[in-house]
Amino acid sequence: MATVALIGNPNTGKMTLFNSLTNKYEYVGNWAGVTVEKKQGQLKDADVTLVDLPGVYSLDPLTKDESVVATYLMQNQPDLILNITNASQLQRNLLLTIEALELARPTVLVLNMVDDLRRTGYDYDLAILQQRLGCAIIETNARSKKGVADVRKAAIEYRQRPTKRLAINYPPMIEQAIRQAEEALVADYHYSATTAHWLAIQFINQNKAIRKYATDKNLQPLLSQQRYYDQQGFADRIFAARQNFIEQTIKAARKPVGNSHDHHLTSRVDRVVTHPVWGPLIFALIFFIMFKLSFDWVGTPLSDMLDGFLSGPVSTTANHLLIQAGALPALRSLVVNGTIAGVGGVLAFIPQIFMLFACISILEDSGYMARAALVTDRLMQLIGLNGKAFIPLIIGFGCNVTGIMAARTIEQPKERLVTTLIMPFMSCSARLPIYSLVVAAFFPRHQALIVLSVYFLGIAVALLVAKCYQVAFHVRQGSVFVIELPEYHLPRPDIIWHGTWDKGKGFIHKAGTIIFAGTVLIWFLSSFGTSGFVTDSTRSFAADLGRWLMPLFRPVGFAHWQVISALFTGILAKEVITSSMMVMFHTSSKAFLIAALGPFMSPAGAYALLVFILLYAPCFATMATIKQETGSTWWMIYSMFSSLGIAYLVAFLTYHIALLIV
Amino acid sequence: MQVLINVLIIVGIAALAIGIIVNNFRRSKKSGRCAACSYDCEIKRLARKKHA
Repeated sequence: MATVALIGNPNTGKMTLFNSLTNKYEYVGNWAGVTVEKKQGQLKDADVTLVDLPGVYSLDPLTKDESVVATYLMQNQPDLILNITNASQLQRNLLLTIEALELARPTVLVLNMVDDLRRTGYDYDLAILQQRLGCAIIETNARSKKGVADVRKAAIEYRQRPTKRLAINYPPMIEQAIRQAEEALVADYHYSATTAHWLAIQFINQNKAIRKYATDKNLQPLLSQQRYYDQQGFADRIFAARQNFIEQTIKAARKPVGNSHDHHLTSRVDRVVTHPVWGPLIFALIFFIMFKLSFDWVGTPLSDMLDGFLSGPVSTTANHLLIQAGALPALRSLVVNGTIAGVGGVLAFIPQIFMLFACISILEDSGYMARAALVTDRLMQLIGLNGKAFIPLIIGFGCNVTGIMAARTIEQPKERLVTTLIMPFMSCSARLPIYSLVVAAFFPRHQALIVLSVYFLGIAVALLVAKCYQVAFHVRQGSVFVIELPEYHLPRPDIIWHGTWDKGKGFIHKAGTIIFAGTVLIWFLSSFGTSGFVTDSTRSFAADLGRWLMPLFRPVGFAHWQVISALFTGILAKEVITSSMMVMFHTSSKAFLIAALGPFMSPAGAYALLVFILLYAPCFATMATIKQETGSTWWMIYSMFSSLGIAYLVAFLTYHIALLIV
Repeated sequence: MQVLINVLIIVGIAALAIGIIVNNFRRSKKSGRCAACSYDCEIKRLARKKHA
């Protein structure tokens, strides 16, 4: 089977093209770093394997993930290389193209996002580009599927592509060095002339992956000259020669195509949304609107309808059927007040959660998320944090476990440890149902604002704690945060739908597994006591446990056994807190629970509860991941107890400050 | 007899719940798997591969 490799700079639409060419759907995000490792798929209705490699700016790797591309090209012989470029950023993209063309494999250059290019008021003369680069060129706009058929055809007809090596005019000294190394590699190590030539250029150009390869293989013709190459500054001169070639090529091929009114739209918008003052305000405003949509305008009305259905017809019908079947009160209670109330109580929040995920998908696909990363990075740098920690922390808003895993991209172990330890303060989506419940009960007019404040408080605490760890661990800033700002796009419905479903389907799956299990567990704890099965839950084990811990929670404003016992179940998964409340209040109706919660505590206590839930011990899956990633049980235990301590302290302060204000 | 069937159903549901919790604890110990997010994302696949 033939193999076609997709290479390109980050955010050039490789993934969208890959998804269009294969039957596989992969996560698409309009920001750099979506392709973490190489992916494979089969070209639709053809015997061709497509390999999608991570986006890189050059074959010289900056991180371990980036070395995947150089290693792949060195150790594999793809039948065709599809070099995907962002047509509106061709000058920068061609640097990688040159490195690929020097490999002398059959290559097709794909000018993707041509619509963006034309919006800038320019186009390229493809004949001139083809003649100068010596490879076929296809124009596409993968988002609208324009030109995708041509790319597919090119992939199938890979045999017809010539294998012509691009010849750049390097300075004579470098040409001589390349030639000598090439001849020695061919003669002594039996490399083909093209591979030897490419290895020599990459080695002289200080490609770290190739230098490691040469050391591993003990390629003496290269290693013996390494000091000479570096002393002569050959790498800089190679870069200068390539830049010169690119500039001349662009100058020759670029042609104006009339005036365009919106060709600077992206940069005009960016001037505002990435502004040091307006940027953070716009960021906060966008997130406020997002929470408004989820918790006030759209999500909550839909959620109320679903709650009415689950707590009404579903519960009543189940109860009638169980009575007719002769079920005992205990079994009826387990099914109706336990599983249906608990699981249904969480499922009722699906509209709000999916609405929030849809908003995030729109922000990702539109291109705004990259700007959000830039705006937040400035804030993080003010505190002295590495901007590279931003992406894992953003992923942590979805799920802390995935966020901790994403922290692997941070090279320095101490920085990675700091990011791992502050991750549980990122408000994961599992906490949304309980937020929604509490704000509906105590802050019905300001639901979105309160939830937004909790999210921002989580970020503030995380950054403050990170700063403390930085000082304690003596972390010095080492890495550089690079993020591409893509052109703004009108979000595509199918990408939004897939993004929303991918983020939200885990929530539905959990309802049938861990939420169900947690609900049954809390039902047993609240239905059995020292005297056996009890109909009055105040005599249950859960009530005993809650009452025993009550003095500890009185200073933070929520001294009620139901709430305290529910917090314990949050260790299983944070959603279970909501289902536990449903079970312990013996209701399957969210509306009833909201009404029942009201007299239990003051708004100050309710806000302190939200703060405590935000910061207290992570769920067991997160703890297991902390143990795994740090390789230490002690860090896991430390994370759990430090989170508890911080949660208690911040909730205590919040409660007493709120009492002073209200 | 009816009481016995009721008790058996309750025990069955409890056993299923305990089984799920135990299974989730076990899964959490494996790299790239967790109860909190069952979606087998690229980051998890990468983590599994690196641990393999």
